[in-house]
Amino acid sequence: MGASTGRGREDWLLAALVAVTAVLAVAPVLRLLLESAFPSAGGGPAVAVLSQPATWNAARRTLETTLGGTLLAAAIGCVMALLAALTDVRARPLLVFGFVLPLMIPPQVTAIAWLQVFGPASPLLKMLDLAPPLGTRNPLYTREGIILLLGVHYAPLVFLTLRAGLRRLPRDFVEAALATGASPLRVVSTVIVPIMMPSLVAGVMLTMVSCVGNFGIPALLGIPGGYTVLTTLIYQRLAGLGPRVLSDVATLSVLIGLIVLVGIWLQARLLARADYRIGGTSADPPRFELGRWRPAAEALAWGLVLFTFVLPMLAMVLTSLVPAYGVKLTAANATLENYRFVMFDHGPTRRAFVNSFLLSAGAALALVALSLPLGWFMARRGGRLLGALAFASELPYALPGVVLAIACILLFLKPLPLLGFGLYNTVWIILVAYLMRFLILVLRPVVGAYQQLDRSYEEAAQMAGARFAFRQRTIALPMVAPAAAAGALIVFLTAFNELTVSALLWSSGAETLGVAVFSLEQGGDSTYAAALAGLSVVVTIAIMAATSLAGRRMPKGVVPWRD
Amino acid sequence: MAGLKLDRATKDFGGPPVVDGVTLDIADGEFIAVLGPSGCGKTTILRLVAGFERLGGGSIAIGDRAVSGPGLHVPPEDRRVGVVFQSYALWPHMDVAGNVAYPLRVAGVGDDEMRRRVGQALETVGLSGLGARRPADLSGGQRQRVALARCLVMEPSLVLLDEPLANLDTHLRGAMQREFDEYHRRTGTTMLYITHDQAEAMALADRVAVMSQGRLVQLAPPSRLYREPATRMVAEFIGQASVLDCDVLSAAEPGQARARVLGIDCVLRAAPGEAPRRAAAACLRPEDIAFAPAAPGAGHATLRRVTYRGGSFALEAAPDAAPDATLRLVAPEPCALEPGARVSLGIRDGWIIPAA
Repeated sequence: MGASTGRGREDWLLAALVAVTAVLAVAPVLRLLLESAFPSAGGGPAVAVLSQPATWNAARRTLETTLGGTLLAAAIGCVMALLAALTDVRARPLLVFGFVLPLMIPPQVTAIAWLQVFGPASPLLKMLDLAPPLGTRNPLYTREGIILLLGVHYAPLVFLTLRAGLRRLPRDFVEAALATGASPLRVVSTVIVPIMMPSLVAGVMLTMVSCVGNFGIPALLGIPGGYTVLTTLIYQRLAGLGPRVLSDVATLSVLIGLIVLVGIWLQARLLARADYRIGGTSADPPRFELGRWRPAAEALAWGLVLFTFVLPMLAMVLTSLVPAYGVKLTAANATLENYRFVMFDHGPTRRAFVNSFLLSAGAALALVALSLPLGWFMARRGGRLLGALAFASELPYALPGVVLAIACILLFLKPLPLLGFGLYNTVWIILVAYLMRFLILVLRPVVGAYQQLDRSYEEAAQMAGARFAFRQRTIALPMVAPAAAAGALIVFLTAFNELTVSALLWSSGAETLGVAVFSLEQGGDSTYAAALAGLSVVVTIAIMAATSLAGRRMPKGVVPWRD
Repeated sequence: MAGLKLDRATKDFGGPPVVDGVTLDIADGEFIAVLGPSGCGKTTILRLVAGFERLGGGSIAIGDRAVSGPGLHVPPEDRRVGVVFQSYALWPHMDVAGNVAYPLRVAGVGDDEMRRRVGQALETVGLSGLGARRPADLSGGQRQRVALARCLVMEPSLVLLDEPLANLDTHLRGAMQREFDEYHRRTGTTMLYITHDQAEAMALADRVAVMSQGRLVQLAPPSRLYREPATRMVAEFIGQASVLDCDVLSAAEPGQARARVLGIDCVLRAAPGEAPRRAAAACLRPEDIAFAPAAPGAGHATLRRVTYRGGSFALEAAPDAAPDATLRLVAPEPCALEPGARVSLGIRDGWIIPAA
């Protein structure tokens, strides 16, 4: 029978996919655990690292900034989510887009932009003649500065999860409560808030995990300020002392990984306890009419967008137009010289543009090629092995980038067995790290799309006589293509601006855009850094806008910032 | 052309069997409806025949060819069985012609031949000229016709239909029923029609297979199903029925036996071999029970509910002899009876449900 051979070919394909995915998802985590259990030659025992006061100092500071940043993000995110999802404020799509933007802008760019708001060279303060004298320390080079930026940067994360939950809240629930005579405020406190608790908890825990792993903000604010957290401690050790401290930093990254895993575990526990299954029929979320309060609510909402996005971006753009750092910007001396320099004159940044483009496009395409067939097997065949693999694929993304980077160095420091060449100190180690880290960003929407795809579409093709490969090509792939495209765009956007992984993995000639921006700012070239950061923001917004337009043809929910 | 044979077909999904030893022998060209409440295993039967599920035990043969059995599973793409899905399963990224042409594309039919056959299929279902439309732009009835045309173009010898009318408005159902009927008559294709709607099954099928909890309860032509239900479940599931305790008083002579129902002596139809016994059950259809208003206090039953059905009234009554039982009666319009009225009963006809 042709049956057995057809099924056999499917099985071979599946085996190959499982092997590749296992290398990408499982290998880094295993290697890291192995290293901390059995340190390689030259490394001290894990106990030694854990008994250093610097370690515990950094851990404490990580917790402080994480808690502070999360609270601030939660406060801003909740207010925005309630306003945008439950009230009749006007121009809602624009509001949502404007508020989510900071999340799509990389943390190092957020940091550079905010530094231009407050520092002694701030073009804004200079215009108002409020700037402190040159040489004054930037007030953001402190714990409070890091907390402010983490809070502003991750507020959209709370906003997005909470808003997604609010949009699933059926209108019936609210109308049933209103019909009993409860006032809108009472409905919010007795019906909406309790039902939304799981979404809020999920958003808050996600923010905490992101804060723990953040590198760009504490690196640009904490390193000059002498305020070291775990991620920057690892970076400084490795950058200063090289691979011989690999075992030590591996122990540190396992420590970060553990903090993050505890956060994820806690989130799962809290969510399991508050399981409100949402029934109801109405698709429309409820909306409260604000009446005469609407102008005030709109002012608050747009004020937040102004504060979290427009203000820092304006400061950054102004800085990028200044002829020399510290000079007061006027209409007469404004110049595009800084842009010309980073785009054409400065070798490393020009290379970085090309590298980042190729790396992120390559990663996006490769991940689509892997996720399309793998996602089909996960959605259609299931089983324990594929379930475990789906879970494992989440890990390299859930773990902080620094941790993944250390794992990659451990994996690829020595030449690959059998092949005889090494990836370390080449651009390829960054590509492999991106494939590991961003796999889930394509796999998740693709699996979701296959799961939503009624089986009968493929069964109808089977009925018509179509075999596996033909069925995949003509029925399944075209129908999940939009989800895969959305995933690929997110990967491209994230990888294009990525800093945390490449900061530890780059080598001369293999700089990424994130590294280039970071190096310019660290070297004191704030005007060049601002110009380069401005360019990457323009690219980011252009891609987001293009995605939004294309997103109209995509299934609901694949573009995170669109309704 | 092909018949269909299921021999003790069994399937479970890791729990109790969903299909439990079902044996069906369907002749070439026959129209069979599989009828049962939701969860009775009827859709699983269709998926087993189509090859979407692997058989747990027993065997299935289409025509002379064994397709499922111990160590054998011919994949769906090699069975050449047409399926009309409940959701229609029209591919949204192809236009109507693309959907209908798909089986021909798979088979490697040439362009001209393909265009001709697609045009023919669309004409047969009355959708000529709509080939360039997207499925999303069609009405429910039109989508159903496209699904039928996609099936038709394959020229299958066996067509399976999974609740094809479940998603249509009532008035469209009648039109589509005629469509299926005509298709069956014209092509002589063997058809297996899954439905939970007894009226649909009775209107279309040569024989109806009634299923309950994974088992085949009765396989018979519609009128036999109505007049001679094999079990209490069939009696209650098909049409309106009063199923009442009865005592069989005599052995069945040619098709009939004396019995006592609600204390009334009567003659009921009975299966051959029926013997005198107590605690039997009788199925009385509304038209089997005669009744007349009785003087207050006298009579055999009290009316509980009177429901207008357009041209007639459906009545429910509680008999004095068995106050917990429900008698279903029918009265022509006009009818002056109100709930609470007393009536006297007469039993004209009925069926003694055979002993299990």
